[in-house]
Amino acid sequence: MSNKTASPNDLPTASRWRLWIDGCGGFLLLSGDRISIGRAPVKQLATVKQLATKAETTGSRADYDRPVDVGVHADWPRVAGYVDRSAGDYFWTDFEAVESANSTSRSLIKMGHPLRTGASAVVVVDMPSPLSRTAVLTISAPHRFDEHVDAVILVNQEVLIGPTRDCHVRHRDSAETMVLVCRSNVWFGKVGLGGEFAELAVGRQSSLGSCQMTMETL
Amino acid sequence: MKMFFAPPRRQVSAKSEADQPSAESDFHSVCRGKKNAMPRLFGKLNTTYVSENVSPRAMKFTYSAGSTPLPRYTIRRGIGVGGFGEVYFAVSDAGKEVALKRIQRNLEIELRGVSHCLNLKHPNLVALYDVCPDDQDQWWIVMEYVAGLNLRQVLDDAPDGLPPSEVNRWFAAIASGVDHLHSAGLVHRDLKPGNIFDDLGTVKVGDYGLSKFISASHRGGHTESVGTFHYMAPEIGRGQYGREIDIYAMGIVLYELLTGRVPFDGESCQEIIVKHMTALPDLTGIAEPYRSTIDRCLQKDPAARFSTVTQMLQSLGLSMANRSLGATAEAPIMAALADAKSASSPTPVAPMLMTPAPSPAIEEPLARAVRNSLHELNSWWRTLDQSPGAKIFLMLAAGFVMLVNTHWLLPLLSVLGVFYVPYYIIRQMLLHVRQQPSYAEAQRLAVHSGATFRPMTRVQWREQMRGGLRAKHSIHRVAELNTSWIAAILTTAAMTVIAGVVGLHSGPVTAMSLAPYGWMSIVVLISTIGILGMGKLWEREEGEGLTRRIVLAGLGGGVGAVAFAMNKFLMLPLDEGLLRDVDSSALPQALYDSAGVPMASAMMAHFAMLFACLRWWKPVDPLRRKRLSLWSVAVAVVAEWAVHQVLPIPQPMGMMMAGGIAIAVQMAAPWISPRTTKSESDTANRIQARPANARSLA
Repeated sequence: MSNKTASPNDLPTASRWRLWIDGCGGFLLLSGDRISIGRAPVKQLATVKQLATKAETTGSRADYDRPVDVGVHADWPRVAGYVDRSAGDYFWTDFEAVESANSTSRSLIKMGHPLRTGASAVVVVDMPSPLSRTAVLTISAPHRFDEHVDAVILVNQEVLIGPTRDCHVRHRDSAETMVLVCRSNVWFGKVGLGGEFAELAVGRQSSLGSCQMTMETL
Repeated sequence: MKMFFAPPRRQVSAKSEADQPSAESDFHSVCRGKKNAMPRLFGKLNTTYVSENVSPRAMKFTYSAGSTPLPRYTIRRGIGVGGFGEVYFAVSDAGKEVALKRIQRNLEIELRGVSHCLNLKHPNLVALYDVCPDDQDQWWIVMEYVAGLNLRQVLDDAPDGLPPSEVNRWFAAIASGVDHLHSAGLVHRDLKPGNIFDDLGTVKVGDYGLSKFISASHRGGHTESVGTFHYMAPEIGRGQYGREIDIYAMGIVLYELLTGRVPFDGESCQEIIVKHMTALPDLTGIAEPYRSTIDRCLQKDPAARFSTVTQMLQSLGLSMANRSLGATAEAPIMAALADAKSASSPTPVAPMLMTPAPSPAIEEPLARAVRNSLHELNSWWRTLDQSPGAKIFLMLAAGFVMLVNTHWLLPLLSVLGVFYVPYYIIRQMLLHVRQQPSYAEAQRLAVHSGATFRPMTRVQWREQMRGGLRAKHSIHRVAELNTSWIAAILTTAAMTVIAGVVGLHSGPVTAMSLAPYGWMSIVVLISTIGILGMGKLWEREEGEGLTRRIVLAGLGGGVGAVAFAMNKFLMLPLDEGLLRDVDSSALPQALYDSAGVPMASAMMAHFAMLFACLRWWKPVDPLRRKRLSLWSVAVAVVAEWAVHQVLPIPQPMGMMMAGGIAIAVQMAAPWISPRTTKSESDTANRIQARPANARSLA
C-alpha cells in the first residue's frame, strides 16, 4: 500500500507497456501500486518525461493536457481517481478526495464491479485468476481506452495468456497457457507451467507458443 | 472485426483451386441423382475454396506491429487470416481505428465484391472505407474496425444457445443488415456467425466481399463455390446464388442462436452437404414462431422459402420498420407477440425505455404463477409432436380424469376461492393506497430503467463494511487501537470500582481486602488489551476460526502467566475456591502441587483454554450486532465455569474475570451500528443505482 498522499500534480508513476497479440487484442500493461485514471488527452504529443521537463522549465504544470496512466475516451475529468494496490487488494480513490487530502475516503474495489467514477464510461476491474493478484480493467461500450487497447492490465508479478476465462488475456484460439513476468522492467515469457522463461524483445515481434505478439514500451 | 475466422471445431480446411467449374457441375449431377458423381464431387469440394479460415495455430502475419505498408496507417496487430488474405488492426495518423485487409488471393473476386459494397451505409453493416494499393501494388481494403466479439465466439461461450432476448437482438440486426444488402441488389453469400460482429452493442454483418449483384444472367453459372458448408444452401451446388441462399443461411443461424448447434452437422464436409440436400432439420425442441420460420427457411426448394427478409421477420412477429433505426432499435419478439398492437408497429428502444414497466408488486404472485404455468402448458401443447387424433385423445383423457375427480376438485377449488378472493381484493386495495403520487412517476421510471435497487441484506452490508475496514490506513488502525485501549482502562477501572463497592460495602476496607479486586482488574485489563490488539488485526477479514483460536490460546497462556505473577506479587491465596462440581479425576501433577494448589503452568493452561474455547474476535468485531451483548458475557462466565471443572483456579474470581473481560472488550472495541450505516449505505446505493437522466429528473 502506498501511504503517501498524492498530489493532484503527481505525474503517473507506473511503468507502461503495450502488448499487441495477433488474433487476440491490444493490452496496456501497467506495473506499480498506484495507477491514475482519467480522460484521455486530446492527443498525446509528448512523453511524460518530456512533459515533466517542460513543466520544470516553464514552472507551470497546468499548461498541457497532462496524461494519466489509463486514459479513457469519455466525459471524464483529467484525473478521475487512482487505483491503489495494497496487499493484493485494489482500492479506488477519487481524485477530489486526494486533492482535499482526505486520503481516508478510498474504497475497496469489488472485483467484477464498476469503478465509482460517476461518469458515463463504465470501467470494470476484475481479477480473473485466483492464483494471481494481477487485475484487468475493461471498459463498456461505446467507450474505448486510450492507446487503442482493448483492456488494461495492472500487473502484479505475472500475466497469464490463454484460452480460458481465468487468464488475464483470453486468447480463444490459443491451445496453451502462457505466462509473462516482468523482472526489472524486462519481460520474460514461457509456455505452460513447465516451460522455460525466455526474454521478450521489446519493439519486435515475438513468438510464444502459437502466439505472435509485440511488446512496446510507452 | 476482431476475428475473421471461425473456431477450429467447425473448420474445414480447403484451398482454392482453379478447376471449380467441374466441381460445381459434379454437384449439379449429384442433385440430379447421378450417384457415381458423388465421390468426384466430394473430392473436388475438399479442394474447393471456402471462406472458412486456416487454423489459428498456423496464423502468421506478414506485417508486425509498427509496420506502415499503407501510407498514413500503422499496423498494430493481426486480427485474422481469411480466405482472401490477412486482416490487421491499424490506426491512422489521426488516430482512427480501422481494419486493413490485405488481399492476397482471389484479388479480382474480392475487389469486385468490395467495389459493389463500397458506398453502402447501414448501421448493421461493417463499413468499407476505401480500397487502395500500396507501393508494391498490393491491394488493401480499409474497413471499419469492430472491437467486439463475433457471433461464433459468443456461441462458443453459450453452447446451449442464447436467451430469447439476445436471439432477438442478434437476429433482428442481422436481418436488418442483410435486408439492406438485398435491397441494394446484393447477396451476401457467406453469412455465418464468424462474419457477424457485436460492435460494442451494435450487431454488424461483415465480410461481404463475396457479395454479388443479382441479375437474371448471373443467377446461375457462377464458377465459384463459396460459403461455409454448415450454412450453405443446397442450390449453391447448382450455381444458383439468389437471395434465397442468404435466407437459408439465416435460418441456420437462427437455429444455432436458439440451440447452440447447427441443424446439419457431420464428421466430414461430404456428410454435411448430403444432409443439406436430403435431411430434414430436427425442430422438435424449438418453440413457435421460430420453429415454422426455420422450417420454411431451410426448405430444399428455394422457391418454398421466404422470398424476402421482411417476410421472414414478419413470420417471427417483427417488422422491418426499425430498419432505419439500426440494430439497437429492435423490439423483443416475445413482447411483440404478447401485444398485437406493438407487433404491428415499430417499437424503438427509446420509447421502450420511457414506457413505465408494470411494477412487479402490482402483479399478484399466485396469479402470475398460474398464468405462467398455463402459458408453458400451452407452449408444450403447441410443440407436442403428435398427430391431431392423438391430441384429441389426450384432451378427452384429461377431461375424463377431471370429470372423475370432480368430487374433490370442486370443493378444493371452492376453499381456495374463499381464501384467495378476499386476499386478492385486500391486496389490490392496499396497493392502490400505497400507490405513489403522479409527480413521483418520473423518478420511479428513471430508477426502474436504471440499475435495480435492492435494500442491502445483512450479509451484503457486512461485505461492504468489511471492505471499508480493509481499506483503512494502518495509521488509523493504530489510532483506533490506542483509543480502544484507553477505553479498556477506563472500563476496567469502572468495573473494579463497582465490584469493590458492591463487595466491600459491609466489611473492613484493608489492603488485603482490596488486593483481589486489584488482581482481577489487572488480569481483565491485560486480557482486554491483548484481545483488542488481535481483534484490530483481524477486523479486515471474517477469518478462519482454528487459526485464531490457536493464537488466542497463546495469548491466554501469557495472560495466565501474568495472572500468576501478579497473584504472587499481591500475596493472594491460590488455594481458595478450587472446589469443582465435577471431580472425577485427579489434578495433573505438572500443573498442580501435591496440595492441589495451582502452579503457574495451571494458570497458563486455564487461561489458554478459556481463550481458545471462545471466539473472542466476535465481541471485538466492529460489525457485531450490538455494542454490548449480555449473552456474550453469560457465555464467557459459563465457559470459565466449564474450564474450571478441568483446570480449577480460585473462584468466583475466575468467573468474574471472564465476565469482566467480555464486558471490557465490547465496551472498548469500536462498533459500527448496523441500523444507521445500513440506511446510509442503502441511500447511497439508491442514488448510485439511479441513472444520469434520473438525476436530472429528480
